[in-house]
Amino acid sequence: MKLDLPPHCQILLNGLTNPACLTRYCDSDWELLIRMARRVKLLGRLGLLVKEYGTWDQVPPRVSTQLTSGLVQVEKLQQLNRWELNRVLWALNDFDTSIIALKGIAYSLAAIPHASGRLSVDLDLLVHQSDLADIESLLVVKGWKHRPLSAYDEHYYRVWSHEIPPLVHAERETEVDIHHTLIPLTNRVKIDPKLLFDAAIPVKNSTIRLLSPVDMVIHCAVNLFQNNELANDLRDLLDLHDLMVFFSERTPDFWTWLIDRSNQLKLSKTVFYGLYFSQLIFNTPVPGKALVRLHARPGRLKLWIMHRLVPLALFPQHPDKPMLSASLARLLMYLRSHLIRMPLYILLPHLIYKSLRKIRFKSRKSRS
Amino acid sequence: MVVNQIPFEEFHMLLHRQGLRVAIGPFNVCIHTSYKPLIEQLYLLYSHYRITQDEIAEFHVRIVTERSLRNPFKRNIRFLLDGQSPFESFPQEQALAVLEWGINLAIAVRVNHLLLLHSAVVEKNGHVILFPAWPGSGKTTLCTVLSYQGFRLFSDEFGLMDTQQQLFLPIPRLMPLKNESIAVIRNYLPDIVMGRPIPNTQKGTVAHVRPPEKSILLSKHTCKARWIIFPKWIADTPVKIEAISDSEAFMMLASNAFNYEALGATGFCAVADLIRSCDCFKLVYSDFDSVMEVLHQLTNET
Amino acid sequence: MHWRTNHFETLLIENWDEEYTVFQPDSGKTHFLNHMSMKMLIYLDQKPATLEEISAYLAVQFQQEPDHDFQRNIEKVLYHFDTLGLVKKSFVGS
Repeated sequence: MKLDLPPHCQILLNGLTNPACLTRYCDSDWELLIRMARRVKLLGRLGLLVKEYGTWDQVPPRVSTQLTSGLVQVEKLQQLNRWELNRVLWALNDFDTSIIALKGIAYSLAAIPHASGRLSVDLDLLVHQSDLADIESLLVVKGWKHRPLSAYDEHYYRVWSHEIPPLVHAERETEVDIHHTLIPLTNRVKIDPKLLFDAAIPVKNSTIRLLSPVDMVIHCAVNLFQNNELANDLRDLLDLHDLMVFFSERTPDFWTWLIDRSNQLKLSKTVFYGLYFSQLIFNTPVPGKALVRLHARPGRLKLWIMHRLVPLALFPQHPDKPMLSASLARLLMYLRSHLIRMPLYILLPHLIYKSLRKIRFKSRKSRS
Repeated sequence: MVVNQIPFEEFHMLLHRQGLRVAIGPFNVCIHTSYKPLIEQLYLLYSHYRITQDEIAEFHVRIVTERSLRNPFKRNIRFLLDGQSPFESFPQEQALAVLEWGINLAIAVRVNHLLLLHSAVVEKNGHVILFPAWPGSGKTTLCTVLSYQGFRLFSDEFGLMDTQQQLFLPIPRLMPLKNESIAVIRNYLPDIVMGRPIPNTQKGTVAHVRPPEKSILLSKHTCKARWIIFPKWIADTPVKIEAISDSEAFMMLASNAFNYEALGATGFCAVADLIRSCDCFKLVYSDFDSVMEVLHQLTNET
Repeated sequence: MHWRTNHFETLLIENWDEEYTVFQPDSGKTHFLNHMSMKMLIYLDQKPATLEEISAYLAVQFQQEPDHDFQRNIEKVLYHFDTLGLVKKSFVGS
């Protein structure tokens, strides 16, 4: 099946994958490109690409100032992330445990190409469940606080989620999300974090660890196709593409290992979607054999539906002319993400609670 | 082409159809709205802005009307930035205030290629004076008076600084007077153009002053800063200006900027250079005439 | 236990008549330091030192009594600087 994108999405995709074509962009293409890249957290990435490609001076001045702003923002957030990690490790210095860095900060530590252009807001860490309570109380003693939460949210985090309520240091702004596994506990799919810790890789001159390359790729796919709602998540698919390109070029057996590990962790269907859409949208060089070796794959009808819906959800809407079909795709992906995350007896009260709270919040705001 | 050179019908059509693009300082803002009372206000208050239909716009904003959730017979307005709504809806009388507030927010959260100080800025004799915001500074009121009394308006809100060249960029926008200042300015400057007072906004009653035509015409002329003055309005006190230490000025300026932290070392070096090249003062005042006298003295000394 | 500076060489320091604004690239924060704090950092940057050594040095520099209270205050500043990442503890002699 081919990728069939509306023109505004094509402008974004071409800009991200083929910087050469940017020299042909007219002012209105650039304007739209900037607006959409910003929407999906890829303005910094775009700025980095233009710099690397050496065409910065040919970009219209009103565009290069915006790319600069995007790069400054990305750089700042990454610096905040690095510092937050530094301070967390400082606070836990006397506590013997092993901590794995996840997502954006991990991509920087692993020196994945273009990681420096990634917009990363929160600091994500994975710790042993058995150390979780100690780590949480140590951080609280050293100045980190939980944001005020409703009783429902507290319950949601503590009982069903794969992370504890976010912690923020009193004098800083970066949110620390501490995970004890990679998938919400309510999910039908389970993952054994011990396997991840056993394969984790130390980082030079630091006590922090990283997931092994294949686990990092799997986590990225899991996050996108199990945990997220997919709307505007193009950046996360691009992460997946970057990771696979980087690791497959350095490790000859990467694809075999990736498929074996996915089968072992029983995450092959999720990984299938990751490989499929990364290849479909970003032309990731996934070997044909790889997909076939995955133990679980979606059926033809299901894949056809996902093929129609996923790109519409991942790409941003046209900022002036939102499409109904894309809104519908997003709604369906939202429902799907919740359905796989929770059994119905939890999901229905959860969605009702969330929508009620939204309405209450709205009316409170309009009163004040 | 300037807004007041096109007929109202054309202005209305631009806002309604493809969006009106105007140059506000270094930025182009594209505004969409079909809300007639707002269009009428804008035609008057934006009349000196240059129209830039064929240029790239950095900001795309909309004011749309919608039915109120709580009262279906009432209509509200909503501000959209690139189709996203950063705040809740507001009563429709507040459309102009919400539009102006929204554009300020967009500038404050997005612009990082310049240092954004939170300060009123005016120019005299080729040099810029900064009046940084701090509680009770009355910077907008003071700035309104100055910009109609021989000083060139750069901004009542944003000190936009090009950190490489240490130049300030004008961004003359409508100046929102609040509460008592509205009557004070009407008395002091009876001839200036001001929008209708808008009651019950989040900041009380607000009325927008149109910036002087000349300030808008010259809005590409950048200048270096020479003075930083922290003003404070205190009723019935004689005017007093006194020097403050550089470290204190640094702290007050940096801790109150929009993106000082985001710029990292660039912001630090820019503020340090700025403080070094400026004289820094605290100013206490209660009436405009004596402030003018003090400032004229200060600016003519050099 | 010894105290030492943490990436002192990366700090950007502006001296305003013996008051200092210090930019710390690691944290992205700007700190406002008085003369004594700055002396302390410069001293610790020469070599790691114990609380007693630091107190004794600063007491001489600023003509203070190196009594218990003085030392307590220096200790407080050290712990505060530790949370800011300006100094760190070191358990090896030099």
